[in-house]
Amino acid sequence: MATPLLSIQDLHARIEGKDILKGLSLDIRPGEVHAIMGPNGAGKSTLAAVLSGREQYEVTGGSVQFQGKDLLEMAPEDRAREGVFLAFQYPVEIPGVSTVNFLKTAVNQVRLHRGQEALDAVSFLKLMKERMAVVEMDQALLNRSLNEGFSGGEKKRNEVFQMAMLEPTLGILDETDSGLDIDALRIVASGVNKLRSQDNAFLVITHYQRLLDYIVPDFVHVLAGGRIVRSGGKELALELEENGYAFLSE
Amino acid sequence: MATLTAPHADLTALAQQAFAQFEQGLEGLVHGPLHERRRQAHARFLDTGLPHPKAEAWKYTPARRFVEGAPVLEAYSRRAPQGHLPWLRHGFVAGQRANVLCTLNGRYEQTLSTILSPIHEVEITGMYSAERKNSRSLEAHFARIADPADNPFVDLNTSLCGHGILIRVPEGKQVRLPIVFYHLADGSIHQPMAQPRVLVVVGAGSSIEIAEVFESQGSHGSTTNHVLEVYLAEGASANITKLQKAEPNASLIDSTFIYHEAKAQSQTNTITVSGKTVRNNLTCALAGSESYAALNGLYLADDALHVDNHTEVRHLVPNCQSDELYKGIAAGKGQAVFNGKIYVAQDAQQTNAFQSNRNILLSDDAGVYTKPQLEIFADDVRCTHGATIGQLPEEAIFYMQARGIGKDEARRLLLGAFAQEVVERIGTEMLRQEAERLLERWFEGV
Repeated sequence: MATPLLSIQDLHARIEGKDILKGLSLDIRPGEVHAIMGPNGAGKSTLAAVLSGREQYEVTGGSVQFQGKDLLEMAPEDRAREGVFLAFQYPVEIPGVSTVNFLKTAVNQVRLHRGQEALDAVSFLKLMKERMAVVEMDQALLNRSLNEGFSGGEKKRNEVFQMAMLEPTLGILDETDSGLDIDALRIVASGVNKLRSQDNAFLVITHYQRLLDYIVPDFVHVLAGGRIVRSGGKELALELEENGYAFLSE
Repeated sequence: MATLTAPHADLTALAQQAFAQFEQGLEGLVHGPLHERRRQAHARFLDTGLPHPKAEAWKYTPARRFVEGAPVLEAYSRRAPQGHLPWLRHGFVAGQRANVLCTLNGRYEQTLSTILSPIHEVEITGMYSAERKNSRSLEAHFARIADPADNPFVDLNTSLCGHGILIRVPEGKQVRLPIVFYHLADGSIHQPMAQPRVLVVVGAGSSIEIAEVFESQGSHGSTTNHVLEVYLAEGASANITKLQKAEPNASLIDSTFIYHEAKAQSQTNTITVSGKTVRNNLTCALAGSESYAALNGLYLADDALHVDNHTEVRHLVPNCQSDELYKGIAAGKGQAVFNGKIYVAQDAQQTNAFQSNRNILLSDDAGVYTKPQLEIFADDVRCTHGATIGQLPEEAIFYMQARGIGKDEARRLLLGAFAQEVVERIGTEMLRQEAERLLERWFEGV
């Protein structure tokens, strides 16, 4: 078996004095798609926040290794430069900064970190045109202020577009399906599928099984009470859809 | 603990001395109509003196700050230009297609100025010779547009004015090249208190683009007490940009008055990036129907710079509109002040007046005092105003970090975006670029 890309061991984390993650362990290998499901308040978004480096969350125990490096020691921007990408549940609107400008800065900072040369304007636009196709992104949207006035679907497409531009090794989708209609969901999911390869991996966090019809996972984990309480194949998602999380209280 | 106050000069005594000397040099002009205005202004200044520390309009920016040290009050003189002026040859304006007019310690320096526009588009004259030639524009508008109420510095400037610049645009002309004023305060020999003065008279249906750049040099420091009067005849328009970028030992009082006849339009952009103490007074009188004034400002306060913007829009007749947007960023122990007065006369029905002041504080010690001041006597008006003071949004910074953008770079991007809304309104491209360059440099440092 390949060495894990991401290895989470006995992770404990808290926010505002409240323990949320209580011993979570998970290994993700290249080429795999893992889904994390669970009831509200189980700690799904906390996991995404801790992995991406939100300051408000305090890690109180355990470890996270990403490609053999201690992820928790890194600043958020270094995690992104190393290849971790978080697609936000609520993408932030930034008035006055165009998506193009924002992405050009991001892409070049990531490239410099990887020892590649910064892209000039022409190469950047070429790359952008190519990746826009992944999520059927509209050029006009990219010239506007980042996410400002975007519909829910446009914001999520923009997240996947940014992922396509930054080519992460690990993509974390935090409730990407929330607030999406079925058409937008299909576009977003198909975008993610196009980006899947043997070298990268995805962690799909979702409350509903619906998204997993389109992004078919290799593994499904149930998160409850801050730990993974059950793991299985994609069929586990269907079972949860049918029976809900009632088994948790049994 | 006792409060330490820097020593400051007795300005009325200095003014009295300077005025007496100035009058001697005026020769025959003392009997002219303009000098009567100077005399009145002088008498009023002696009477009022500096604004009292408790005067509402000077509450957060004590007037004595402008006379700290040992200022030398500069009246009219024929002295040759001092110091060397590398900025004129190598500055951003060098080689640009623009009329460049230079004042040095308040005096118009023709030898340092370049006029490219043809005389049928715009007449540019030193006030001294215009006065000798009995210029009707000068007589009609000099010291008639500027209002010394609450601002004795205007009277001080008027009383000592003989060396300013008169710009006259005839009817129906579009002045194609911008007119860039370089107001330089040179404190390399002593500490001047300079009194530059500009009067712009724009004929009916004509348009003009004006920029004023304020710079300084010299270790003694300086104070510039500037007055700009603009008269816009029917349907005339003016786009005015001020770029205030003096050294940290140079202070500035910049008082601008724009008078609008019917359908006249003005836009003023005041960008303050450096200096010691900067006080801007901008008054737009909408005196003709369907006239319009836009007032934009951007100010950066920090440990070195204290900046105060007092604006006043006077809606005097019906059917006029004003749009005001001032944005500020305060870092370190920086303090900024915004006071936006909107006056709507009883007759001025159907007035549209908008005002917005937005501020970002970059540290716990930075501060902004903001105050909208609405005096509305008409009953059929649309008037909105809003003021905010906030911090850079943490969530936006984190979002950028999550895309690989470092925290400092993320802050710079956000500050740039915040400033851009004002900067993009600057009409003259070379000034916009220079403003962007200065802003970026400032953002690097905070």
